[in-house]
Amino acid sequence: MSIQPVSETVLELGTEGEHLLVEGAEPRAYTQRQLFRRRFFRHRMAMISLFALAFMAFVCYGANLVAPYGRGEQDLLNATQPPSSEHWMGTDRLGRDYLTEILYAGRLTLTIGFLVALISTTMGALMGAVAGYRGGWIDQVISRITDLFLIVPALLIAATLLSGVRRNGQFLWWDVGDRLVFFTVDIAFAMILVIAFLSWQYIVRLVRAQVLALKEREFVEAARAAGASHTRIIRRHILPNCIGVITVNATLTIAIAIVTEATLTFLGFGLQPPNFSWGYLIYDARGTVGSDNAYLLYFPGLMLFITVLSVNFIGDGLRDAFDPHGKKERW
Amino acid sequence: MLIYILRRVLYSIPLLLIATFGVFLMVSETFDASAYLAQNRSPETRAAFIEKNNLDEPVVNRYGDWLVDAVQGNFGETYRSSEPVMDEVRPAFWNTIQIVGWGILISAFVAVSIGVYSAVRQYSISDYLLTGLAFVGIALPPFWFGLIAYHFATELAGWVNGGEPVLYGLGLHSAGKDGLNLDYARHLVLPVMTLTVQIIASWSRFQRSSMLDVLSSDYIRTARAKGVSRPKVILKHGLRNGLIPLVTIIALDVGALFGGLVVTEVVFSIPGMGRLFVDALNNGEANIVLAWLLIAAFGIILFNLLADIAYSILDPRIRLS
Amino acid sequence: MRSERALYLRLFALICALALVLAACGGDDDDDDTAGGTDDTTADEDVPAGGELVVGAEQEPDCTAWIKSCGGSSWGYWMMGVTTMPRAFDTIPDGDGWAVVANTDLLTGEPEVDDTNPDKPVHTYSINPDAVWSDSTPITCDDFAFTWDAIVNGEDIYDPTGYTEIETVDCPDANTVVVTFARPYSGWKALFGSGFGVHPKHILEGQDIAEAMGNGYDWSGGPWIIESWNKGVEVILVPNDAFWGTKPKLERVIFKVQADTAAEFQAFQNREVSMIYPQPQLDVVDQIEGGLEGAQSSFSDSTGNLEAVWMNNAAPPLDDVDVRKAIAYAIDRDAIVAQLFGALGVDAPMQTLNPPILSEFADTEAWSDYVLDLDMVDELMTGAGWAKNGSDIWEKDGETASFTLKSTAGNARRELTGQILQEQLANAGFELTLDYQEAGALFGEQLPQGDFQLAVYAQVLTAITVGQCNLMCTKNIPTAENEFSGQNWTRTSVAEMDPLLEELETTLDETRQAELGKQIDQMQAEAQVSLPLDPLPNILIWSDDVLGPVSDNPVLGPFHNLNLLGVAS
Repeated sequence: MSIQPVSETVLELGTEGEHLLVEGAEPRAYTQRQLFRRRFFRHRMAMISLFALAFMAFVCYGANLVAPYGRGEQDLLNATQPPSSEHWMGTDRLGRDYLTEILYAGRLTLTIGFLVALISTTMGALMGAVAGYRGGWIDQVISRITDLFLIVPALLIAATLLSGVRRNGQFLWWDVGDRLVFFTVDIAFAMILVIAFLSWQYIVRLVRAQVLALKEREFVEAARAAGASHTRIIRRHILPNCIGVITVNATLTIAIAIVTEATLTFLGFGLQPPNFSWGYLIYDARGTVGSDNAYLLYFPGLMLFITVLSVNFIGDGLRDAFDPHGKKERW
Repeated sequence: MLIYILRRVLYSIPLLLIATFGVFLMVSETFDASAYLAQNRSPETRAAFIEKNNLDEPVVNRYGDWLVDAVQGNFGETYRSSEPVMDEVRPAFWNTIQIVGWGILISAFVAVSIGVYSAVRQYSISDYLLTGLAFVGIALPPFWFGLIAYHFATELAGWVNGGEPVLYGLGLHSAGKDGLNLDYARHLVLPVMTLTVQIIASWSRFQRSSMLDVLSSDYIRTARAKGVSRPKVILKHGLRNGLIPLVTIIALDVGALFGGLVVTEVVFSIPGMGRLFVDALNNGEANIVLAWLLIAAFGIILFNLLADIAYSILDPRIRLS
Repeated sequence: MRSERALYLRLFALICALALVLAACGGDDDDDDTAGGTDDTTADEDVPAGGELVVGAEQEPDCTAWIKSCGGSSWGYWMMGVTTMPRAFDTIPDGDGWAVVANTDLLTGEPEVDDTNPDKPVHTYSINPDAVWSDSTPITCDDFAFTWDAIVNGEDIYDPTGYTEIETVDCPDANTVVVTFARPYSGWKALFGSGFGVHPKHILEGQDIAEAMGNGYDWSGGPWIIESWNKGVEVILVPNDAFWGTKPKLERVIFKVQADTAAEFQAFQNREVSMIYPQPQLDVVDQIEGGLEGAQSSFSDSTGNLEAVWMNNAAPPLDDVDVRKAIAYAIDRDAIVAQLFGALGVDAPMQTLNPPILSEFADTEAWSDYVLDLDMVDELMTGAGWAKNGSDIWEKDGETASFTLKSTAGNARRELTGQILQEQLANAGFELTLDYQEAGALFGEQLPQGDFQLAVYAQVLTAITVGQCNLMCTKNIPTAENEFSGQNWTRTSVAEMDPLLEELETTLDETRQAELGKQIDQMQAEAQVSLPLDPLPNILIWSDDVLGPVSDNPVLGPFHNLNLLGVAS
């Protein structure tokens, strides 16, 4: 826990953005964590986005508490009604309340986003750390695998893999005798795995670069001289310093994963009923362009947009909070 | 330099082998190319189709055959119409290049302009506005944006032009027309916009950030102190260095371009590589998918190489080893 | 240059559009069913000459060698086959249904049927002496013989059924074709016609037909000739100057290829195409319901399509006829049809497993007893030994009445149908899981191999052929022995029905055909082999710029009379 003697109340911004000393100010000490939080809170858009995202997650995961109607309540007589006071987002083709459907669909979208980020970040960070720290042939192998995935367009692989899942809901690997099935998965789960499988290579590169740089620093040498094991060094010294890169990248991965899932579903390779996501709702409504039912297209897209925007702002805020030496953004 | 390029290319070959085999395996195992004949009243038709295309041979054999042919430049024939694959791919490729080419040119130009302007006018209202727009652009799912844009174009046609279309959303040329003309431009606007909105947004942010770095560096101040005019400093000294990170980003983003490409072509019915890929995948045409993969991989490798070379040209301190 | 007539036409079109909008706003959409009625083969003097028609094409053929397997595309045939290939028979409206009559461009009249030997009927066609190919060579009997030979002896033929029943094709003179059958074949009117047509011997003899015709061909025996086919982009047709029948008025017809129905509709809304023939997707139905500005639509529910809830009669518990009947009584088909197609005025579900164009040979009320009747469901299920468990689902011997419904992925209408079925069946005590599969996997493997319980998909007939033995005869059940090549995917096996189906394949007497058809339908309804759902209407939409007797034909497609159409300038 190091103490930084410089605090914001001592300095103010001059006309050209440089820091000026305020007369008579008293320096106050802050811990790293407190400084981090202060910097994050100053980023207005990030704060707003954090609340927005939390609110979004709450209404989606808590849809059974919040939604005005029951899930999947069909009302064939009231199909495709535009927004009204009874149905804030109108009704869909089976007369279900669109707002309710969107809230429930949000669960899947958000889950896919979070889980993909979690899985790919964990995997990627570990592999990157090991590759950077150990070097040698492990590094070579990991780097070559990473290159392989960077060369091949991810969408192609994702679409092909997912098509295999759509069929029979299984991954078909080999026909041995009479159909040896490798394992059975649900398509949403498969999408999470596939997208995560294709997202980790960026994190690997970043973490590896970061670790390579950190490896040469004095505190690592000191720790090694003091007899610390490699695991301990990685755990206590290297990884904590990578947190910044990892976290920022993780948030961005959430956004990318959400859009990727929506894109794959839009192309027909993704989710199908009864699994809905916002991407699926857009796909379902793509024929409404130029008609009166275009609201079926706007609302899920808007939700996607707001979510991704919020995640991006949060990522931006995190980046600023982790890196005080970066340029000051006033949001 | 030449040795460097050669090394990079050679090094990619084993990767390509693994990738193509993996994809071939996946496509052959998960798609049945003869399935569309299953409802045919005559079962011999389906049997004949399987026989003609050797679909009942083991996957490894079929891959081997493909590889032997591919190395000689023959990428096989389509299963259904027995057309050489390259005959299908060439026109699709040409159509895609048009969109991608215009897309990258326009994106680079617009993004750099916005980035430089934002950096120079940091903290001004226009800076905030542009940065805000950039965030919006990055967050917009491209396919949704495309659909909305098409919707508005249709509505616009109703208000402004008495029903006749202002912007077209179907293919690259109107029925029976051809060539580089206003009709072509009107067809390009919507797809290129869809493809580039996210790219322009993220590149401009990047460019702004790197320009800010450059503009606050010492040698810029020195140049200003020496009396070089502001525009000249920015454009001549600043831009040259500020472009370097962007060049790397452009190279890395080429892969991401494919995703946007497929969606754009599907939404606007452009018969390019993206649609070719989706159709081929759905029909189980493994030969087309493999050719597609090779071209895509080749493109990515090429762009990475170009980026490295451009990098070394722009920054004389970098030497390719 | 605006002529006065063009102005009047514009005004007329405007009034029509206005009327349409008012009608739409007024409530029920009352669209014309052009299935019966107008004689669409007379030239209309009010149609101006010249101009170019742009049509949206939802699909593109893999090749245009019609007899080869890659040429088996309906869209391909409608665009480039119907317009350029001479054919022996036409399908025309006849009262409420359709009749197959001789094509008077190619033939001078109905063929003579000589069944003095009932086991080997002889049909004699008489070719119109004016009929010529685009290079002015007359169309002769040699061309018929050549076509037959190419189909039965060629490789990779799309569907030689029927041609293989022909024993010989003799040519006593250039304009007389004598076809002798080895066995009676009830679908003989489909031969030398829909799908294949008659091919020119003098051009194609000795060549590889797939190569010579595959990418478009520069000859023709119809009113149009293919000027160019830019794959993935467009097909351009121009009038065939040598055509001896009613010559086209338009200068060019261009088919612009689109990605899918949604893109097609967008292009139409944006005035980039003037005519579209979309799949009956819900968006299309919604749009029609909302009223189309400056455009007209016509739908026909008298098609060759039949969508049904097909049941695997061999998969327990569906092997029990009572369970199948119970499911039929649990489904409210009227509601489904009203929801999906009500805006088009289709309000009654199909009550026969024969598509509408075969209604003369079917019992069109065979399934009419199967309406929503939850009491019947209870009666049948309890009678079969089932009882409702704690979750209100039927259960017997520890197994619940849970079914999987399969259908094609990426089809919004089917997805919606699935969801409605799920809810309806849940109300009756059945548990339904939805499983959407890619069409290739579904039709190529799962259905033939019996890897399904319930499935929603459509049978599409491309010609008026009455036999259903390939779908319903016990001998055609796909098994491991015949490598799952049989087409009786529902595993229907009704012993009394088999001989009737066989007879239907070979009877040439149309009265007897109708009798048999009705009996077969009734037996199938009794055994509840599957549940017919809806007729998948064909929807044709065109802007008011298009003039002339625009009409759809269930077999020949909507472009069968392009030579009579024109555009407003």
